[in-house]
Amino acid sequence: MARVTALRARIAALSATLFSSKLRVELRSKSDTARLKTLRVSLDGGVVYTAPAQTIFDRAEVVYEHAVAAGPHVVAVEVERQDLREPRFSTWQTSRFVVVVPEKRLLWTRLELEDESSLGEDFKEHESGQYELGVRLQVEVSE
Amino acid sequence: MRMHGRWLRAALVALAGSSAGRAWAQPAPASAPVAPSSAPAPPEPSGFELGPYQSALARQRLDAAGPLGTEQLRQLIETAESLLSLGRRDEAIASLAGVVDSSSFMPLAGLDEGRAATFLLGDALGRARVYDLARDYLARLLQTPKSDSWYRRSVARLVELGLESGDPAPFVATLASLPASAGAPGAGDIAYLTGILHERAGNPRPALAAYAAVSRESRFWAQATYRAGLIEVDQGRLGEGEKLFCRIADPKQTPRLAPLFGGNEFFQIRDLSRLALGRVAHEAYRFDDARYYYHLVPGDSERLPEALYESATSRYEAKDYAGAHALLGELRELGGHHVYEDEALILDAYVDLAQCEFPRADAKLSEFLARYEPVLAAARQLAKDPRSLRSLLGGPDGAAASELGGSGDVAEMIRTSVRIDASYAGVSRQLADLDRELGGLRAMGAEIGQLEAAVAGGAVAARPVAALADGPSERLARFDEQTTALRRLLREAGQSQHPPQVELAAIALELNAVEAEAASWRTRSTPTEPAAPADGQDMPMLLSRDAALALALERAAQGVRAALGARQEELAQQALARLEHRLARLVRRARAGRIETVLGRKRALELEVEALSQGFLPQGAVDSLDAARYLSDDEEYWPFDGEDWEDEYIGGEGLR
Repeated sequence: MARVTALRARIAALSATLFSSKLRVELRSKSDTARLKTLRVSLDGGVVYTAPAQTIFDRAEVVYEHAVAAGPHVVAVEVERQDLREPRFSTWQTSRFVVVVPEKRLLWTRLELEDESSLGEDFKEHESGQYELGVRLQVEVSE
Repeated sequence: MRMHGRWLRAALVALAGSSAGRAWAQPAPASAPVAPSSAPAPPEPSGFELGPYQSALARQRLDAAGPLGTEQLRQLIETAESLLSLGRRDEAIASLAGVVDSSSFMPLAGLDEGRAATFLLGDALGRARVYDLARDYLARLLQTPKSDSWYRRSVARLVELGLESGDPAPFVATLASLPASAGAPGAGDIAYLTGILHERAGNPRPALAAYAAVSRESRFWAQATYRAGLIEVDQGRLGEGEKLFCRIADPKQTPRLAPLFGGNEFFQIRDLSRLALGRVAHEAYRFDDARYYYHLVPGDSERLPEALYESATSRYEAKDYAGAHALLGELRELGGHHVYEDEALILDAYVDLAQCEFPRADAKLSEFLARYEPVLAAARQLAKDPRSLRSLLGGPDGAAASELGGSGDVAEMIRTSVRIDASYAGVSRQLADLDRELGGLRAMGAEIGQLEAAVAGGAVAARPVAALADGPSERLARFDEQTTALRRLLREAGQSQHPPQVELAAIALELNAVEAEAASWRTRSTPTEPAAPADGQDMPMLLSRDAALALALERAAQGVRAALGARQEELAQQALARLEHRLARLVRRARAGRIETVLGRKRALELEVEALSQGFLPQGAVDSLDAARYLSDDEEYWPFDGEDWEDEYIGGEGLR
């Protein structure tokens, strides 16, 4: 583990020096009915952010910002959500997005997670309900 | 139901071990999983080894780092703290390492800002569970005679990491050079860590001495006292153990500030101590004392089900059946699943048996069999399917039902009934960390290629997106999901009324063959033997060396992963075997109990006949003389009220 961490730190330091393009990942989660149980953000297959337990992203937070090579990259978000009122109702969702980082610019990606599921509230009373999940990624070239 | 000394010790140790990962938890056994040695890994670094890169960048005039002063350090600390507060650990480590490992940091290392940056780096590495590097950086703060807040925080953090890592030996060695006088900063913490180390090594006497040295002002006072009590009990000195447990359990004997220093964990240990006191009293047949101690466990404690169950057991042994029933009723009212659910139901039925309430006991035993025979069958089925078992124990909550063909309640009962070894959580955590690192290593190979292109001054070739988004590992993961679903369908088909055995066996064989092929693909997808790294200190050489290192680390990590996976499977199988053993025993007891209820009813009838023959009418027979019993719903019985009234019409019939 120590060698892997040292290698990651070396490569991160070099990337910061040698690459002039940057990628910023901002995250926001909107839901009154569900809580995040697990959340991981990956870049090109490597996990770059794991949310600590009990984190609430009701305000937009930057979860990753680093220099990257210009060109296409895959931003992925893996999320497990649990209904606040009825924890039996859970969802798992993995979404991947290809973004293209321009040369010498910052690409600002805004991930928005929405959950308007009604199962936890409705199923007990009406024996019906629905899962309604959304992941939106807004991309903007900045600076 | 009677406990014995060995059982008691095992129960106490298991009790402590069930809270893995906490600072006061039972130290992992000597056979606790550590990184297996089968896969040769490169030697551990002493730091981040950024020096050669920084020199190479400076030679190429690419070093973007500006001058470093206290102001820059303050900004760096502020940034790193905000990154850590958001969980952006890797970024915090990278930014701190770039500065703390640089040559320009040396003159600032002794300043308050420099020491803060070093502490933050060690702390961040500890959060990432990179214990060796964390220890190296935190130990730097102990090498100066300056006993400032960073010194004290380093000692405290080193002790925490020593406990968390499960291998306190190197941390104790690092802290050994510090003054051990009672007033020295962190002396109590270090004594506690030393005690844990001795206990792990199986040396109870030095462990007791170390625990005794933990001062009342230490945040680990309760943990040390509790562990000392466990050792005393383990050595058969129940009285000594009881005294130590009492110090924590009884607020009058507890040091006034202990709850303040101990935090939330103090109250958890107080609950454990009360349970331990109950068990010690129970062991000595002091049933009333045992009830009192168990009663002290508060209603909001997570140990309440244990306390109620143990207390009911002691009341049963004391022949206070009404008391046992009341406690079991309380336990039932708690609702939800708990680890004593199965045993409590059996105990409840046996209390009824002891009270000669045979129909009630029979109903409870029948309920137990109806509920737990499917669980036992599912446990036996899972024993043959390691992957489903792993998924059930370590997967997300909702996945449990699908592993057992949608039987959510049975799955939940297995999850709550199985008493997983504390080291299972440790292995699962190591596996999760390793998977995270493996993902990063794969991505790193491509990043190093881009860095090489950037250093060479050429354009960075765009990577094919398809390969990034849908690589072989993703496809293999999808394949795993599909085979798991197929296995579940096969299981469900096998449980139907008339399963087509021949066809199912053929499908299972084919599935095994496909899985074996996938396993061979998995092996083929592992990186090839890395080329021998070139010597030299210029940038391309350094990068090619790191590219080779990334491949070597990936190979080593895969070896470690395989070994950890095998260990995890072994632990899961052991836990399941224990569950199966326990349930089989309880099912046998339930069946034996039902036989007892039949025998009991027969004996009751015999007694009744015997009484009749002697002229005693049983209550039932006396009741049968009651005329009101024979009236139907629309009839009313007017009993003779003891006075005859003359009919007022008698003699008056002819008047009209």
